Amino acid sequence: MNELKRRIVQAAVLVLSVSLAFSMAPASDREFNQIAQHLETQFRYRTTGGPLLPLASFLAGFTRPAGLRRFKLAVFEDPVSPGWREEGHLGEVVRDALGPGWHPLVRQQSRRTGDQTLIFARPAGDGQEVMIVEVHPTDAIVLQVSLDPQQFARYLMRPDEMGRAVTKDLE
Amino acid sequence: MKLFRLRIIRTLLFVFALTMGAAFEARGQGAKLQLDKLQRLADKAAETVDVSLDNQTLQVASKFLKSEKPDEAAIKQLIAGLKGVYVKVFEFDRAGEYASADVEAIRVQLRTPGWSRIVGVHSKRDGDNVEVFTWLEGGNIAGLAILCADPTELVVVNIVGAIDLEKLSQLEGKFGIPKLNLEKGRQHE
Repeated sequence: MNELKRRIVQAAVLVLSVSLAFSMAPASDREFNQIAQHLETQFRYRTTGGPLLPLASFLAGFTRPAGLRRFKLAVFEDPVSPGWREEGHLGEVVRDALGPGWHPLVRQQSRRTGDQTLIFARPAGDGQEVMIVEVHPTDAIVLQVSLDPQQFARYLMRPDEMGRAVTKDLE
Repeated sequence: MKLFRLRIIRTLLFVFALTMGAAFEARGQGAKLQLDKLQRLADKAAETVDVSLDNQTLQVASKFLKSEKPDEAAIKQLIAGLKGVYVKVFEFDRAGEYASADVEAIRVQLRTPGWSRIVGVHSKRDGDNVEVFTWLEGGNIAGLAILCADPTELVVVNIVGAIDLEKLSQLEGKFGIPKLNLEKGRQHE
């Protein structure tokens, strides 16, 4: 009976620890994950990451192009339904996922090509944190990146090309 | 008959109050235009670009662009007094996919006291329509609006803050502002 009690307590402690670990995940991770989880329902992603997150790359700390402090990247490929196109719904998903500190910078949408780009930013320390969501008919990316202020200022001169410029710099 | 007159007077007063309210509201918002109502055009447009750079964002750019680099220095100086840059571009596949009524929500704001139209170009041949408006505060330009309405394209640029009109063309192609050939337009004036 004592053994049973001990096991129950152990199980309870384990469940509590796991719950706490998840609830204590940084807000920025939750925001990123929420957007990624939405895209996960639309794509059969290819990833080398674990099964919990659709992260094709989690390279923070490994590669650091000038001005880019850290980043999280999820790449999605192979849409579940052929001819899939993300419509206005994506904007709502991203806005709902992001907290009040984020403000929209760019929203681009092409009905001709099916491409859509959403870029939000928020101050982070002395720099800026930028969330880039790019959706194309055959693939999509979610990229959360911390930029030093000089690099952010440079990207800002052409905000409509920011998504492309940041991803190119990461290559 | 008296009752009828009374009702007409009441209705007129109500309409007057509404109009004045809208005018005061527009005046109260300063040079920043309410562009949200244009968003419904995104459902019809083939291509949509929406750029919003608020005061905080522009301050970062102004502070951290490098004075030593000529291209950055010019922009740094130009945006130092800006409080916001808002751009909306809608490109349509065919003419007639947006109506002048869609732009009316913007024109109403630009008709309020404080705004003055300084440039108006209308081409009957191409159907192009370019207008530039300035917002004055204390005799100085404290805001700008550019409205380009082509049959298949609508561009609205709203710049909030002190802007040097002589250098306005330098902002073309930057901060999401499309190339509008403003310098060429100035030469034709």
